[in-house]
Amino acid sequence: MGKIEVGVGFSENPDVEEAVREASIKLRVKFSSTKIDLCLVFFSFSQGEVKKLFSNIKLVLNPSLTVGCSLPLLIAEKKVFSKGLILVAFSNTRVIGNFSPLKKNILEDTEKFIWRLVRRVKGERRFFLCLANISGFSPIFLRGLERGLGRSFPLLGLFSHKEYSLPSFLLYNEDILREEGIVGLLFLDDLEAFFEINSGFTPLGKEAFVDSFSKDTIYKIDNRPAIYFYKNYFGERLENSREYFQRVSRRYPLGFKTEGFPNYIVSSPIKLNSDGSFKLFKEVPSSRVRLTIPIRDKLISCVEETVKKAKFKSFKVAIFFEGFNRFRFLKFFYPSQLEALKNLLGDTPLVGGVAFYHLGLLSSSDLNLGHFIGENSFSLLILGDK
Amino acid sequence: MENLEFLSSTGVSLFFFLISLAVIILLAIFSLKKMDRIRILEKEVRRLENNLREMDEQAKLIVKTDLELSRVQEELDKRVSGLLALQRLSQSLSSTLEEENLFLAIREDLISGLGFSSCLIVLKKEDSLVAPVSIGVNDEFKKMMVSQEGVDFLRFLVGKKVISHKDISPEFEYLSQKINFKSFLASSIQSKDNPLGFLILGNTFQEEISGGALEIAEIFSSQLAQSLENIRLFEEVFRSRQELEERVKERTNSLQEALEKIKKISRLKSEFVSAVSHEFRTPLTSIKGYASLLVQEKFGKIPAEVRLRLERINQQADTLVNMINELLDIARIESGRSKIEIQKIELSEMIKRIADYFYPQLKGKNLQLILTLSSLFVEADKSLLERVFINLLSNAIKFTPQGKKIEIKCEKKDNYVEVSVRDEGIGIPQEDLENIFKEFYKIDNPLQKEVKGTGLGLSLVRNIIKAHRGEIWVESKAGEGSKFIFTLPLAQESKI
Repeated sequence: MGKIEVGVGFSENPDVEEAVREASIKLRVKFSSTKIDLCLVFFSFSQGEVKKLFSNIKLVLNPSLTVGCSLPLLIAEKKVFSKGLILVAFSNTRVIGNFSPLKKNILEDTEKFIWRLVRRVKGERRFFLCLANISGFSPIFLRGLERGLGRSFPLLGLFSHKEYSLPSFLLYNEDILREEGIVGLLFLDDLEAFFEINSGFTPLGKEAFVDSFSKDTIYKIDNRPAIYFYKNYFGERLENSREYFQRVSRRYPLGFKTEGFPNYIVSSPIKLNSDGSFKLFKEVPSSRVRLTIPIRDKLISCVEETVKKAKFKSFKVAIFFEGFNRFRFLKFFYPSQLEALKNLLGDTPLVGGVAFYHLGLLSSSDLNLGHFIGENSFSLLILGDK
Repeated sequence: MENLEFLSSTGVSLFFFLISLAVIILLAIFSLKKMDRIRILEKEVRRLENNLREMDEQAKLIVKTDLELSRVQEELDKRVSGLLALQRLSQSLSSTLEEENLFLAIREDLISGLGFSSCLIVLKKEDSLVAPVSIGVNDEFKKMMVSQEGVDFLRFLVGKKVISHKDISPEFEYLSQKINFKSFLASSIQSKDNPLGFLILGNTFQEEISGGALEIAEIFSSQLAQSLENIRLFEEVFRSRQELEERVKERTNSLQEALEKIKKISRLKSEFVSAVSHEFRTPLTSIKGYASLLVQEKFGKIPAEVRLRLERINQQADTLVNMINELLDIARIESGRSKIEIQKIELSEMIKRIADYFYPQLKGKNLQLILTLSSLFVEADKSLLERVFINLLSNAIKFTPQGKKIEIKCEKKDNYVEVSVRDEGIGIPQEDLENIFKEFYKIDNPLQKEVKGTGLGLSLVRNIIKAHRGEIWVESKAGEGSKFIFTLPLAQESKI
């Protein structure tokens, strides 16, 4: 098997056929003599247009495996765009994929799904990439993944929750477009991959202690109902206005300090309960908590610092998933972040998208830190040669 | 012995007492030190607590400032997004001059960029209302807005700036119940004082409307009015232009037809004149011949009275022959049948020669002839050009009283020659100036009537000049003399 090749193409054309034609021009040249084993597709087309999208990709590039999902916003090079298509093609790579609707028991179904994949390759596995859209409890889904793959297995994924975000569509080979389920890809090659999840939110105020919590709900902080943690900074108005609480908790997420991880794991409470407790989108990561604040310069410099950690001789591709909440704070300054990223990555293709949630291992330098689902953070995957 | 025992026991007691005292003192010292240490630690804890409190207070202040900043930033972001969308919308609106395309340009994404989820545009069309744009509006409300309720609502909006759902008059409060928005803005679409319709921008989720949204709605509505006015003006101009083009076409056709008719009539007239003149000439020659023979008494003596009559016949026959000749010349030149033999002519020489012919007449009337001539060459038919000078000079002599001046001037102007014959004669009344070159035209003036002429001379002159690609005109005032000016193209050599 030859050296793994990765190519990227994108188009902002709102017409499906034109977009496929434009995005595949470079890829057809690059892969003129080699078969495309995998084509990752990120798109913004409506459900009705996806069949045409898939058949056009098949017609133009004829990859062995095609998987993808819709995203609210797409990122390619130095641009963010809301209409279009991104294609990431891999050749000379050994990869297997599958789809599962995950409709009954999220934990068991996810675990079984992973086992089915793993069995096919007799335990040989290097890296897992998943695209999921489920309606169940997200920490359970993550636990299902960990049961199947192990607590420190390298993975990266996009996650969409039907209750909390816009519907996302999943694409898996010639299957019809799915609104719910998981598309998983298991890479078997010795891929050199750097990955990290980070946010750049700045902690402030004194550290507090989570005294009482269960799974995703924090009941008490510093021996008082959890709401008092926010009331301390934002006053009594919080309890009376849920809209204000949501606005505040989105802008000032909780930063959890975990042993061994230098950064704060940032998470926004998504629901305020009547007893003053609040619910997170994921399991409570640790008991040491501080308030965090988004400062634009810090958000951008955090991305730069993260890329600098990837010590590769050369990069093949950088896949960047941005949390929607974090994107909202940068907004008009977002091109500055992409500019900073491209300055560090040079000619390496940079693609990705803005998604509501993304998941993966917190850091490739310490796999024992475990997996994480982020909404205020970004996840970066760089494939390259060491 | 007892004393010794007593001393010994007292000493031991004292010893223990002293030891105990020392221990107590040491313990006290140690305790005091500990207490100090505790106090220092407590102080340190208090300091740390204060620091943490201060840090928290600072954090509160930072958060408060950031919250305010983010609110301002959000407002600013909304305005920037709104203005960007408005700019895109304005570009789309101003890039079309067709009403249909104008409304197609108002797309959902642009309305959303302006910060609204819905848009309804209602316009007056003849005697009714229509809704060419309806984005995110329920059908019931749309139907209501194009009926009498819409007419009343438009009347309410006219003359007002943009109003929000909160400012709506009680009589229209029922609209808020029918509409599927949580908040909305409404504005009339007005071109000058003419209300064209109205615009409603709504939000399905958001209750509050920012100041920026009001401005954006105001700009949008005036931009819309401007575009609709532009379209109306363009259509008006386009229609008028089409009508004008049609009229010009019709007029050109009728003029072309008239011109063809005139040409045909003129040709027929020339042919007729030519034919008739030819026919006249033969009998006239006979009449004149016989009259001459009779005067010469070739057929016997004739009485004096008869001679006088015969001489008059002879003279009138001469006049008639001249007239016929001139008519024939005019007809020939007009029809293009006259052969013009072009040659290079030195004008000053020709003018001097012609002036010599008229020497007797000039002397007879004691007229002074001034020649201001440059040596210039023209390409012309010599005999025709001579007839021009002869006609003009003889006219000048005829109509100039005794002792006055006549001036002939010849000068170069650009690439042509301008020749003028100016007299100090009776002049031509203003109303006759434009007719003077017409055939048989005679000025209604006693003196003019005295002077004999065919009435064809100036017409012939004009035809000759035109045949040579020149122009002729007259400048004159009654009683102050006349100046006949004509131009001729310069011969090639003279141009240099």
